[in-house]
Amino acid sequence: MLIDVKDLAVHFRTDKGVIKAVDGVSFQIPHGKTLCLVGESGCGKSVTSMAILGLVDHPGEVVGGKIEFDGRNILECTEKEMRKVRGADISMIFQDAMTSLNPCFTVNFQLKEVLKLHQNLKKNALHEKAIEALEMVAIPSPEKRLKEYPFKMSGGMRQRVMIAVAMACQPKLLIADEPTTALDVTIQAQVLALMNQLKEDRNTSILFITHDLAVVSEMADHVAVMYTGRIVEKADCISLFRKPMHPYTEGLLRSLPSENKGRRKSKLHSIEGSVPSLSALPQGCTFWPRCPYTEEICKKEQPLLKECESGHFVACFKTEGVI
Amino acid sequence: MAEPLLSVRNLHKHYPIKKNLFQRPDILKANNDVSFDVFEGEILSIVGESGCGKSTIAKMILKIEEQTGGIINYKGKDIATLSRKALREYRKDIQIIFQDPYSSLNPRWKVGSIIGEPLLLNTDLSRKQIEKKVRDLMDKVGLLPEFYERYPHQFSGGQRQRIGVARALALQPKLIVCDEPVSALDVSIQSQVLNLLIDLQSEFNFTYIFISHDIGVVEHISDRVLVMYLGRAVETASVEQLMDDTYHPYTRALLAAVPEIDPERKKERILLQGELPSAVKPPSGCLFRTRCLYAKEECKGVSMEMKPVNGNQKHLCACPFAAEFK
Repeated sequence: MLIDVKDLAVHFRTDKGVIKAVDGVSFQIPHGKTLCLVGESGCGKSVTSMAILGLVDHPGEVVGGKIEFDGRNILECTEKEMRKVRGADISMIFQDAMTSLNPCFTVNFQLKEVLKLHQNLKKNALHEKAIEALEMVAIPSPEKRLKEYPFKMSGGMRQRVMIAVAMACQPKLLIADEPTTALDVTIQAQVLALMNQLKEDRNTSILFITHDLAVVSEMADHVAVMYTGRIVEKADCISLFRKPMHPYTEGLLRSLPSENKGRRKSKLHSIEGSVPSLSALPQGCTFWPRCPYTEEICKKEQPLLKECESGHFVACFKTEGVI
Repeated sequence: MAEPLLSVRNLHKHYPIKKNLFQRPDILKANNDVSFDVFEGEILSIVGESGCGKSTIAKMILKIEEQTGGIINYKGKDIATLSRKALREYRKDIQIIFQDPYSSLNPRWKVGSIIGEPLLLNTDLSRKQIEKKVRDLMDKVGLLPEFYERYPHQFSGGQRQRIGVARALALQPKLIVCDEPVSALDVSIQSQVLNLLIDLQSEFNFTYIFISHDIGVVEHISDRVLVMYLGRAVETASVEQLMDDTYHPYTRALLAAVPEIDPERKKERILLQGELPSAVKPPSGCLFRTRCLYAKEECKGVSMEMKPVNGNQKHLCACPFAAEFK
C-alpha cells in the first residue's frame, strides 16, 4: 500500500458548534492504482484531500486517525517535513487552473519553483526538466509556452500546465480534485487520457475526487462513495457499477439521464430532498430522510461500514440484512 | 408544416475587439450565419463546447444583445422592428432560466419579491393578487409556502434553481430559454430539476430552447438538437436521428468524448486533437478542419452551408464530405 488512511476525522469549530466535515474515513491506495472519491458538494471529499496534504486550516483541525504514507504517519510530521513531502511525494491538481496558477508569474517560474525546491539541479538541467515536463503533458512548442503567462492559455492548456507542475517531481501520489469539471467534454477526454497514460508510465497512484459518476467509471480502479463526511460504500469499480448496494449510490446511478436510455422525457429517478447541512445532521444513518427503505432502526443507530461481499464495503442496515 | 414559433435566419453576431485607438479592430465572430426554427411545444437543444456561441444566441433571442445581421422572427414578425409596446409583449412571452442560481437571484430580496417582480412590472394585479399568484407558483415548482419570506442564501442550489424557474413561469411565457439550467447542480439534484422542467412542459405546453453541453441531459430531454462549432451550426436533426445516424465528424467526436458509465467497456475514443481555434482568426473554409480526423486539401475551400442529409430536410449537416467516410 502506498497510502493507508485510517479513521481520519477532521472537525471544524464554528459558532454553530463542531462540524464534522470528515468523520472516520478509511481507505487505501496501492501503487499505480486510482481511487475515486465520489460525492456531492459538502460531503467532505476535498477536506479529506487537504488533510492528506496537511493543509487543513483554522478553524478546521485533524482530530483523529492516521495517514500512513509509504510507511510513516504523515499526520505526525512537522511543518518542515511536510514541505518536503508536498510537491515531491504527494502533489495536487486543483479544479480551477486559472485561480490556482499565479497570474503574475510565467509558466517558466511556476514550473521551476517546484523543481528548485525539491531537486538540486543546475540551471541547464532545470530548464531541460521544465521543457520535459511540458512535453510530457503534450503541450505544443513548449519553449514558447514556457515564457507565457497563464492568462494567455485556454482552460485545457492551463490544466495541462497544472498537471505538468504537479508531475514535475514524479510524485508517488497525485491528488486530483475535480480536475476536469471546468473543462469541455472534448478537452476533458484529452486530460483524462493524459492522466491515465501518466499513471501507466510512472506507476503513480491517483486519488481522484469528482462528483461525475461517468468520469469515475472511466478512471477508477476502486471507488469510495462519500455522504456527509463518511464513506457509505467502497468497492472496486466494476462491482460498484454492476451492483451498487447502498441506497444512496443506487439512487445516484439511477438518476443519471444516460441510465434512462430509450425512455426519453420519462421521469428520471431522483433522490428526494437535498443533502442535510453538516451542522444539523439527522440522528442515526444520515441518509434516512432521503432513503426509500428507511426503517425505525435507521433513525436511531448509525450503520457501520461492513464487508458485504469480498472487497465490497457498505454502511447500510438493509444490505447487512438487519432490516 | 406548421408555422414555427421562432424562426432564426442567417444570424450573425460580431464583436469588435479593439487593440488600440488607431488600429482597425479585429472582429470576433461569435455567431456566423446560424439558422434554425423552433416549433411550438418542442424542446430544441443547442450543444457545443464553450465559446461556440450558444449563449450569444440566447442573448439575441432575448434582445439583451442586438444582432449584427440576420433576422429573428417570432410568430412571423421580425423582433428587430417591434415597437416599444410590442417589444414589451414579446418580452413577456420569452423568459430565461440562468445557469448559476447563485448569481441570478438578488441576495437582498426575499423569495416572494423575486418571483413577484415580473408580475409587478408587467401586470396590473394588486399586491394581494400577486402574493396569491406567487404562492401558487411556488407550490407548482415544489417550494414550501414558508419560504416566501426567506432570502436566497438560505436555500440550497437546487431550491434556488426552483426559484429561478418560478420567476420564469410567472408571466406564463410561450418560450423559455434555459441556459445550462442544471450544470451548476449536484447529481442528485439535477434529476429533480430536469423532472420539474419536463413536468411543466407537458402541463403548459411550453417551448424550450435548452442550451447545454451535457449530452446525456440533452439526449434525455430534447426533441431536436442543433450542434454548434465556433459560432456556426454544423448539424441539426431530431435526437433519434442525431444519435443513430450521426453525420458530421465534429458531432461524432463530441458524442465519443462523453464518458459513459460502463467500467467494463472502455470506449474506443475518437480523441479530438488540439483545442478550439480562436474565433478572431478562424481557419479558412471549414472551421473544423484543424481538428478533423478526415481533413483534406479541399476542406480549405468549402463553405459550411447546411445541406440536407440523404434528402432529409430535417437533418442538415455542414460537412460536404460526411457521407464519404461514414
